[in-house]
Amino acid sequence: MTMVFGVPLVALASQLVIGLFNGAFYALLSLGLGVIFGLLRVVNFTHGAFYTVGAFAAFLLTTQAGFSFWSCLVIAPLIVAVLAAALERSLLRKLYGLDALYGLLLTFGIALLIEGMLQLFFGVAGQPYQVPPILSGTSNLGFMFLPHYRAFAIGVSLLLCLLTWLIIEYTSLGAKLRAATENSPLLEVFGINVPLLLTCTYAFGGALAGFAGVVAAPVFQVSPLMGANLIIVVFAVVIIGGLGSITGAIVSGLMLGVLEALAKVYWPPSANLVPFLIMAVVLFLRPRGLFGKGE
Amino acid sequence: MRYEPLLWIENLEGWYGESHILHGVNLSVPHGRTVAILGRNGVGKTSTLRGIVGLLTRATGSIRMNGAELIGMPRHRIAYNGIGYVPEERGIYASLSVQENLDLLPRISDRGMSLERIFDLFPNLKERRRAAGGTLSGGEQQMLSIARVLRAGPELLLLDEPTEGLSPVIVQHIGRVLNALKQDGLTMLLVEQNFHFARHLADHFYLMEEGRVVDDFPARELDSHVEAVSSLIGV
Repeated sequence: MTMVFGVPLVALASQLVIGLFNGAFYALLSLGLGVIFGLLRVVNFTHGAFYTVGAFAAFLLTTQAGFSFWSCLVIAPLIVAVLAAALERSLLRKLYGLDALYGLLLTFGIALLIEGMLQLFFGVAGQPYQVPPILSGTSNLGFMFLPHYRAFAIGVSLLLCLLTWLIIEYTSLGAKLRAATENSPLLEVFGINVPLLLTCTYAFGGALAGFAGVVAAPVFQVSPLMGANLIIVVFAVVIIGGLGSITGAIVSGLMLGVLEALAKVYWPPSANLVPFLIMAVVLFLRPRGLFGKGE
Repeated sequence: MRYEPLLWIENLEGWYGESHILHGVNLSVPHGRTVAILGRNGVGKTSTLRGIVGLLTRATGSIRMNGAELIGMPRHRIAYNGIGYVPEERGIYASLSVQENLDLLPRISDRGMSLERIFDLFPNLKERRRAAGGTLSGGEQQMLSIARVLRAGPELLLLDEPTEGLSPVIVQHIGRVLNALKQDGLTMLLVEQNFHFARHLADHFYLMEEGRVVDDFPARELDSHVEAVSSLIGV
């Protein structure tokens, strides 16, 4: 059997796939958080709840209304986007211009509210969600078994990250977003509806989290606390990548997923610590994060 | 020539944060004319322009553009009344390329200039169209700031210190461009410390002191006012 540093290649490769899979979620979530922070200057603690709501929306749409997994991939993020837009218009908007702490507290409170309501209706136990039949098998690659669903999840998440990056870097909408991040009052003077841009950005960030929730549903159980457990690591990812950096969010999300998985192989007790150890080291050496720019 | 001015400011009071900085500004800008506001630093010239585009914390009084009241209008609607703003700090988006900066503003009228015309007026920008806005020199940034609003097609150009900190060659170039725009019938409201620059361009002058207009006169009466201007702005 092929061994890599004393670990069977099969085990290592499987862990790497799991790492990339987790990393894809980190990337999707930290990308949304980063875009929201860049433009709205809000540390969005509701992000984990958006992810949870995405998963529950898919669960309910499928079990109660008979929608397929594929239609949920589109509808659930839209539901989260509408929810996010309503939150931004009704509450979050009133806090712009105040200290970032207010936005943090508000979004944290909303997250607790959403999670509390879900617990009230569904309890804390997880609900199962079926992997769509077409993606349920595994392939023998010779050196490992690749579960089709995980491969799909990694691929579709990366595709979405790439698409978001392309939009921000290469379209006129993206240019407006980048300009608003630099100086939004002046952009308004130029005739661009910045308040609408902010609502759409928050809704889009929420939709990314909701999408991640749907993709997560078949693998992790659908539970009210699934987002709360994940979001802390995602904040570490955002800090490691550099607050507001799109590339940083994507690259450090994947990197962290993989490093966590490697830690599980070589020294399992350290796996949960890895994101925070890396965050501490990055903060020590590059306080603005790996891809962060000076202000 | 219409009798109603294009821009009409009446008793404008303005606040920036907690401080009350404009104490009843009255001025008007007729169609097709260039009006200059002169005065020392900190008398409210820049704040008057910021008040027009909705960048003050609070403003009272009246600002009418083509008859429409701008005070209380959402900030992103103001440009659509025909206003193009060239801020003192130039407001170039550093992370956007020159081309992206030029394409950023929505067209507000069919007067919007084509890229060919823009590059005709500012050949430097054509060479640097792929460069990031943040890498431009001060002169290039000023040109881009003017070019960018001209793309949108404003009827009234608000220019805040367009020559500040620029070399004489660039100042001359910008002066030539603004003169050409004036010949084309563009209306301009200019805030300028450089009196020699303003006197070659403006048809009418306003003098400001302590947040108010203290005097105004047409360009042909400039000679009889030179002393007052000199003592006020120290030239």
